[in-house]
Amino acid sequence: MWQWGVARKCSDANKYDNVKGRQMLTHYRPKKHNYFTVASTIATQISHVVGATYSLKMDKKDACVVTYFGDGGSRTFPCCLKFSAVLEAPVIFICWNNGWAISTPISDQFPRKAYGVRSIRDGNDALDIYSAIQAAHQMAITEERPILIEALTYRVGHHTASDDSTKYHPVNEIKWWRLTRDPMARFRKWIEKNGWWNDMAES
Amino acid sequence: MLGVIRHKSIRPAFSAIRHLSSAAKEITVREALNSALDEEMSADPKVFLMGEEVGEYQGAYKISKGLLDKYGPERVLDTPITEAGFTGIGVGAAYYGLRPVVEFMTFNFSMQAIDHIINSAAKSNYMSAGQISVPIVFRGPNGAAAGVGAQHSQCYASWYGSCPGLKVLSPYSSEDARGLLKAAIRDPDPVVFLENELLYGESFPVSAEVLDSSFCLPIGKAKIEREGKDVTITAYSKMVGFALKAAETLAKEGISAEVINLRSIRPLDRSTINTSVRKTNRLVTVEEGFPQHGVGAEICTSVIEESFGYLDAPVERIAGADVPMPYAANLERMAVPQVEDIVRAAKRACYRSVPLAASA
Repeated sequence: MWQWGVARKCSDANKYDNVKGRQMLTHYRPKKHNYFTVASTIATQISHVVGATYSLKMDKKDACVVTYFGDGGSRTFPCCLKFSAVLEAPVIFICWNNGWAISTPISDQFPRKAYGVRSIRDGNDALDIYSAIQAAHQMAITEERPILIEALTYRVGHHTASDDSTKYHPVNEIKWWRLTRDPMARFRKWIEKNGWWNDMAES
Repeated sequence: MLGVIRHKSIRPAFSAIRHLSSAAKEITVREALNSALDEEMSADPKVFLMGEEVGEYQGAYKISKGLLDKYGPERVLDTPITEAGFTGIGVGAAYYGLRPVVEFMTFNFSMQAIDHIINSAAKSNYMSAGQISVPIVFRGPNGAAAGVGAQHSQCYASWYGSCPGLKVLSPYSSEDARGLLKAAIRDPDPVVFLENELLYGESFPVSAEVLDSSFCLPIGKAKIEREGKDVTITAYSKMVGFALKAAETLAKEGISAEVINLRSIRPLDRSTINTSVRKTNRLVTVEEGFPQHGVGAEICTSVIEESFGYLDAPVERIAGADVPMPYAANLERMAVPQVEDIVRAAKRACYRSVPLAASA
């Protein structure tokens, strides 16, 4: 949610945003928040993150770097995972595995076992992901090594405006995920249950 | 003169010819690059070298000789054969304040990593509205070597030269190699540094000034290697040597050729080129790369735009043959510009001019 607040300030894609309309909406990069944009050329940030972590390591900083990528963007991942392990670089790789690289299913992409996945989580549970990343953060820094979290999720929308996901996803499957597994709805239920939110607050 | 002269304010040409003392020392281009790397790594702990064979093997072409022993494996990183991987790692390190020097065993292999070079390194400063600078150098041999075929012989000067956000340098002599590599490493922007394998072992005289650790050449400034009044010959990298040999041959036939060593492909020193053409009224461009959309084409355009009225003959463009580089030695020679090609082109330019009386 904090990230969303930052993103709003950085992604108007006009003269009011922090890059003055030079970059696409979702490609925000507020440097003061240590936030670097993802690339339109899918998942090139996987290697950038290893370099950024190496920089922190050279500066003897007690920190790690986190990167997100989808299962479809894992082409340079094996090399970067190996490299970060060799460099003992504290990186947290978060793979949002929604099962599809546009229309190519996960089964046609890569074998999960080959990567020695450290933690498979419910990617639609904000609390589960938060606690996993908190633990990974400590582990990466103290053990000086890369951590891979695979967050299992589902893409209920289309890949882009030129894609029609109903051509390869059954419509009822999309509906089921949207209705029963929506992370925002689940998080809302949890904060309502704890008495921190209600319909009055919503309005 | 032909046509209407368009007056444009162009700074006078700066002749960078150094009057070297008789005691001038000679060093190879390899030694020049090695010493530049060594001095910059010594001066700035944020500078590090990465690439295939740069460490234990001392560099595929021995450019990094002695650096692993001196700076250790943290700053001289041997990488797997994954250009896309290690180039991206270099870019990420530059995002976060280090100053990587990424070596490609040949620039042909930079094609594996061109996404990182263009989409990440070159564009990030602009896309972040100046928040992020990417101080990285991509270096290695570019263009034809000898008998290495099409996939090791391409010249990438015009490829990278067309991309805003990059600086593209191509040294010829030891002075160029030393001064430009230092400039590249110190620069806050990504620099593509195009060396030439066949020049590594060549020796050039250098002055005490060049050998000083503070020596640095300006990016974007060409060097007039030889002054002349009849025809301007522009060249970069190995072709500068060919142009100088051609100028010697032409001098014996009474043609005074001015040879310009471009040094910098992007930014291109249009001022020095145009000033020279306004003096000689003729231009021959020389490059090893493919003719279409080449560096010579850009120079030609600049001269047509800024000095058209001064031209007394059509511009002559010498380039590599418009074919992938053949492997056989005899075919390879035909595919790469030779000294005699430059001589012929310069003669054509000089003999083709029409006397004003005849054109009346």
